[in-house]
Amino acid sequence: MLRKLNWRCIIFIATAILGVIWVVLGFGTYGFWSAEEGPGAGFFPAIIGCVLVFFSVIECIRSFGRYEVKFDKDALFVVGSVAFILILNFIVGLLLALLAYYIVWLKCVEKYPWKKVILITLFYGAIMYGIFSLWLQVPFPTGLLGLI
Amino acid sequence: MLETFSLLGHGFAVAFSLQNLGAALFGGILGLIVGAMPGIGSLAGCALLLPLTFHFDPTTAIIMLGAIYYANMFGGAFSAILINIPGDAPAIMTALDGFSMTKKGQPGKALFISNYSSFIGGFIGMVILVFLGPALASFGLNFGPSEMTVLMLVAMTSISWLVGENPIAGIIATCLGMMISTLGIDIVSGQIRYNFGSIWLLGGINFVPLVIGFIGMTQLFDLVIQDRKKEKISYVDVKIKFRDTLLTKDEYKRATRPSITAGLIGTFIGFLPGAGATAASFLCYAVEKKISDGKTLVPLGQGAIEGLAASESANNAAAAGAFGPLLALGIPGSGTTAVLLGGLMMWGLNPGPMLFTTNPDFAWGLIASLFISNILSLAISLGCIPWLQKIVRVPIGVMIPSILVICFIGSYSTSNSMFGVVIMIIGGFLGYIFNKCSLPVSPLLLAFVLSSTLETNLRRAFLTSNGDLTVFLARPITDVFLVIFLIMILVPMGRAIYSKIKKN
Repeated sequence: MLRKLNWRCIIFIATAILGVIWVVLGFGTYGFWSAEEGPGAGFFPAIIGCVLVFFSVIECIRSFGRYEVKFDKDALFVVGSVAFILILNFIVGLLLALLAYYIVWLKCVEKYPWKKVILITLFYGAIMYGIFSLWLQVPFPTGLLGLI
Repeated sequence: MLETFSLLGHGFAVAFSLQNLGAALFGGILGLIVGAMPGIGSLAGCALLLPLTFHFDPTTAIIMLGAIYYANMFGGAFSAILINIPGDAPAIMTALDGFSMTKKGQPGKALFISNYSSFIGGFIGMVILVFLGPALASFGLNFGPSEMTVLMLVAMTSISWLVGENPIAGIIATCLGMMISTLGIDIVSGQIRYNFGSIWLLGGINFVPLVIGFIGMTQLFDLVIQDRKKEKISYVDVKIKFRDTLLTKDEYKRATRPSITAGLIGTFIGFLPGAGATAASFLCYAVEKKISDGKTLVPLGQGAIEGLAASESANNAAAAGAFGPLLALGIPGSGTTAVLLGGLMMWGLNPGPMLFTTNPDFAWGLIASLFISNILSLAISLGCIPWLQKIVRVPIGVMIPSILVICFIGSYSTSNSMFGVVIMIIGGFLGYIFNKCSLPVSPLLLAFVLSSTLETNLRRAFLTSNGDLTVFLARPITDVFLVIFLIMILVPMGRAIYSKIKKN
């Protein structure tokens, strides 16, 4: 039975659970309807939750044992990239983390020669810094480096 | 009529300030470059460039957004013509004749015809928009909460359940979009809801990081997988010079007639909620095939100027026409216009029947900026032709870190907080899983954008009628919308059941 449970089923089970949470909170905590004020804050979410539960259950049953969802291993490169930037952001700040990511990606993954890596990083880095930091004055986080 | 011209003139006066022109030019150049890059397309292009507009005043921001959108539509054709990879869905038909012309050594002419026809189609669409947009809005002024409720439901069905083979998956995505929009403060009562004790969720979810995650970062997954598999793109090595782009008198003639025909049909299709630029491009190509059957120098699909002109004119006309229902009724006809609508709403600009009366500066400024964007996009595109080969050939290995960097900076800069980045990352991973499980993402974003209008009007309708459900049947307009709504749900479902029976 569990073998027939594919990713698509899991997604619809998750959406059904979300729907139940929305219905329960909508009816119970936020108020569905009051005689004086009419529909409450939970009115709309509870209805949406009901519709979501209904269709998620149908789709889950339909998907059971029928679909095979395969995730590509290469998608882990994106996960790794995001983790690399987030960790480095805490230490050197967002802009430097992004520059370091450019270098690591181009050198280690794409295997570009150093000259090309530095030229591309400087070119794109200058554009990003010029537009967002200098022109639009976005106050980027500076990480632990900023505290020194 | 005179009033329309005077309002449009006022719109031009707004759009013609130095700052607004500069913003339109900058947006046009960026939109064109991003739209031209294969694998990005107009939807992701608009989503990624949206944060750039935040630091301007609302009018300038909207003008820049209009320019980005319109230039993206121009740019989508370039990769289709030069490397046979359509930048977005409407450019699929462009690739048929455009790439054939490139293979025959006429890439310059193909690019020129694409720009020329896009300009004509866009211009026709905008002229019609000037007259039909306000008319549609004054019709919409008769709408009360019950009509608006049913209209929003129709709007959600317009792209939600027509896309994809599985209407139920579309409904689920729509519900998820609506649920995400309920996080934070209830706009009617001011009550805090569904924040699960988190202060970050008090203000709800910001649209821009969400759209960057679901569209931009999901695109990144595809690019990385494509890059790691070392899928090679076949290039036709040709150098393009300015003089190669010039058309003869006969070629102008062969491009002009299909551009005008497709411009008119495309605008009409653009006005229909849900039809969009892709449908316009496919339909006009089919119409052109009928009209010019046996009359063209080469058959359509093998490098015919007529086919290229029809496809390009139609998709730009539809892109302009789509502004009619978007501005007058608040109905976006495609994923890209849904992103645009989300962007407009971020400045407190609520497209709908009241827009032309309460915010004429915005509405007419935006329409005028579309005219300017059309001219600017044409000028930039023609000027860029010799360098377009380089733009469309940016290696995927360089595009990947660039897109991820834009995703991070864009989602951070909307709120100057890492919470935006977190939303973007969650949206990106969910988008990837949705993609793998064949769950459409566009309905989720559209529902997220329209949900607050739907909820407010639904609650108002029930409040004024003391909870009487017949309020949605009492007026002829609601009846008509309800019938359309039911058709839009039942037809795809019936189609799915029919094809299943046929398969069995």
